[in-house]
Amino acid sequence: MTMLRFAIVGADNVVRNIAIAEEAMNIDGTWINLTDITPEPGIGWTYENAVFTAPVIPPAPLTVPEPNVISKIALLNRMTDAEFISIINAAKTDAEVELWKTRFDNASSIDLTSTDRVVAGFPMLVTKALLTQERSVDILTTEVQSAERP
Amino acid sequence: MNVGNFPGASSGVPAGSISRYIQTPTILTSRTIAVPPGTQRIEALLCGGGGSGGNSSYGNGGGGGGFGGLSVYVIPITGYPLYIIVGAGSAANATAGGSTSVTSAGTKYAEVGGGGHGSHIYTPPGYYSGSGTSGGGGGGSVQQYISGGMGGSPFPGQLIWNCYPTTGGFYSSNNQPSGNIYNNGSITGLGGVGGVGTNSSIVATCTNGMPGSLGGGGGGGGAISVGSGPGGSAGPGGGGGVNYTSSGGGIGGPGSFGGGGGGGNGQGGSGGSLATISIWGYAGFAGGAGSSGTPGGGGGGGGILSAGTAGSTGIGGSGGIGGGGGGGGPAGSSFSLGGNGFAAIRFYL
Repeated sequence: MTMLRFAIVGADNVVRNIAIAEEAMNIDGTWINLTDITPEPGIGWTYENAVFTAPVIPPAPLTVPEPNVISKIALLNRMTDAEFISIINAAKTDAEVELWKTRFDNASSIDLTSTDRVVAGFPMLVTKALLTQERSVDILTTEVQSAERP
Repeated sequence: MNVGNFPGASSGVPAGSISRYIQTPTILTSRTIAVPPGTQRIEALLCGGGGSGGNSSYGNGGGGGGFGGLSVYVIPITGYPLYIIVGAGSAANATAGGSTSVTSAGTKYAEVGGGGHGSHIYTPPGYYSGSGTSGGGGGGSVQQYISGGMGGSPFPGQLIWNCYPTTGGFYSSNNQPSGNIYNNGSITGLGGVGGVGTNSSIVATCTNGMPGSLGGGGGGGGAISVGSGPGGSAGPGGGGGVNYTSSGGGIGGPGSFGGGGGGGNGQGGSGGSLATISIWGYAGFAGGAGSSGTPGGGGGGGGILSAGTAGSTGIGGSGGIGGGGGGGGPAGSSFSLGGNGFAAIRFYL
């Protein structure tokens, strides 16, 4: 049994089906033997002047993810009371911590994926044992929920 | 020809009632078939061609192709021969499998398939997952913002049997890891529930497969970046999705019910099995295993007539004959083939 592949082309010159047959049939459109045609066309291709052409599909707009921006109060709520109290106390005697807290107090929102200077200060808080590394990662990388956005 | 006995034939039946049937051999190529004299009823078992698995030009893999679909339709007696068209498995990138159909006296009375193709590249339009046609399964998605393809609605003929499980569902979006599943309506019919996207890491929403309506299941939704978890798993008939990860190591999601597995740079997903299907003397076959190589091709979906082939390092497996979807290929591979369809006809005398 010879199993040949045929494109069935409609009156609009669009390939409607790809069928297996031993010979062309007179049904559903014009049957074109695909033997030796490379690359093989598929359903939706056009066939004009003995040439198959792939369809051009207009691109859909990409869904753009929301920016990873969090409100100041939401970032504060990600810390425990004990964690932030330790930062407040440290700010009274440590200029670096005071500088970080001043930046935090004056920020309107924080972009967790950027080089935001509040975010950039987290390693310093870890170094000074005000946050653990694990907690720092958790605070900065937890998915931002809609209620946390500014 | 296999001559079957209709129940009650030996115990006496009223004059003019059906007493037996003649079943054709497996029809693997398109042809014209004469209707035997005295035929009172015709049924057609049709299987569409499987969709091709996608390849990928980016750092992930391509989605698995959808199953071609398998249904039984009643064909009216017209006094004319039956024209059987057997759909081919897709052998072209980003195209669906062919449909298998029955036409008589100028009217198409039944059509099944084919399966949708898996999406293949990250940028448009290649990231579109192909939808199934006439009961074919949808293809798997290649990335998290694009859903798996929809399962195809059934052809509007006299459908009396369908291979899909009798489970419906809602279309839902999936926001992990917070675990919120949002049901958005769109009640589905037989086997029409969409695949599920997964998120193994910290980033945001992933998109589930779209549902089919009384027919093929949706393809697997794409997974999310970062991490090495699996891509989306497919609904019935759908191809597996892909873990879109720019860092490599993503695992292809499994296909379901004849759908091909998704490809992955870490490991390919397994092809879906049809081993639970048994009808008219046919019993479905298992899907191929996903490759554990790096990069790993997805396994081809199982067909009704043969098993899907296993994926190998760098190449997705082919779908089994009888509608299996092709396995998704990992980055840089070529696409994989869907399995051809077939038909069988019963003449009740």
